[in-house]
Amino acid sequence: MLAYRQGDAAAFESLYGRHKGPLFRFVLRAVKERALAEELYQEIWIRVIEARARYMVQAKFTTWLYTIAHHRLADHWRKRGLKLVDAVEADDPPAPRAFEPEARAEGRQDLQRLAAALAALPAAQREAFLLHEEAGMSVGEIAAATGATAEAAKSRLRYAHAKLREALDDD
Amino acid sequence: MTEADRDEKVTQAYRALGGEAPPRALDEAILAASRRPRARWRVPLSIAAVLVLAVGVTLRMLPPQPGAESVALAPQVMETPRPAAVPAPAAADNVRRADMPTSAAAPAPRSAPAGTLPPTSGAAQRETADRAAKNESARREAFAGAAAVPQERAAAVGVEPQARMRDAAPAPSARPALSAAKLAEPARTPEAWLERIAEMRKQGREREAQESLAEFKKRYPDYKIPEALTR
Repeated sequence: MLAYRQGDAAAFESLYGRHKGPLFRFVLRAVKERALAEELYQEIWIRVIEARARYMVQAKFTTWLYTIAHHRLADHWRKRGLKLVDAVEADDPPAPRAFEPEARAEGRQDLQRLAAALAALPAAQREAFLLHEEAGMSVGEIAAATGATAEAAKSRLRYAHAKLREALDDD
Repeated sequence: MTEADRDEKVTQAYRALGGEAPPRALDEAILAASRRPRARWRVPLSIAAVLVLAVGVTLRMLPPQPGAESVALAPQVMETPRPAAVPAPAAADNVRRADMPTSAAAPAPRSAPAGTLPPTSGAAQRETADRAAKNESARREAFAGAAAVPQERAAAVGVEPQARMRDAAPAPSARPALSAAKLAEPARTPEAWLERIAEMRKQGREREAQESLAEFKKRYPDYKIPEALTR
């Protein structure tokens, strides 16, 4: 990122290629709508590009990137109000449309249940799980990116794993 | 959370969900945006806009300057209709000069009427008011002839509008012409006047002192004069 700040466009392409998949899935599985996920994903990267002059090496680039993503998603939830958050935390949410065809075609009911359980997680727990799985972040890094305490991040991650494991064991 | 806490089954199942990626068009759009040069003018322009706004708001919040206010009010003063009995400046000036002692012929403060000695007590204020009422009719007679003079005449001779208004304002203590001794009288207050009379007597100028005292009595008939001066 420092090289990109100095005007090295190739440095950004390298960063983008490394983080685009995990970040896209993080956003897609957070909002569960592909069109919306693409829009938010692009806005996150635009924020990164516009903030390059202010970039300071205070943490890993990954933490900085997902902090921006977290704030953008928080703005999104705020605009939508609490209704969407309640729907995310509903007892029996609909399965994510993006994952459903593949799971049915292959007859992998466990994946379908996992996807449903992931979508049913509270937003904070799902975010902690996705940061852990997609970005490979530790508890401390999750806490830094989401503005939570380490204890809260650890608790969210543990609850998320427990619920997903429970969904997989239902078969 | 330690590595031992991780549930490998959950992780493997999650990875099996698939590896979605952004569409190529989105990649290209983002990379194209990253290659665009930064808009270097945005920050200076923002700062300039904020400064202009701040200065504008500050100027509007400041109280108006007294000078600016008088300038703004000047046209209103000029347009104020005059009373019918207002004299032309020349005539009014003549009356005022004849009326006042020489020291009072100098420009008086705007807050005090020309030729009026500042009152020093409640009794003096009442006395001044009484005298003004008595002299009002005489002053109007003196002004009556001058009222026929067109006001444009004053403008033609280049008199300042505010000065015209001041000169045209009715003088509350207009009186008949004074003697030469009175014109030489510099006193501004009754006390100072009396002190001046006492000083004349000390110097042996008895006649002048008598005339001045007589004039003082005319002007301040209710004023209690010390016995030392009346003997």
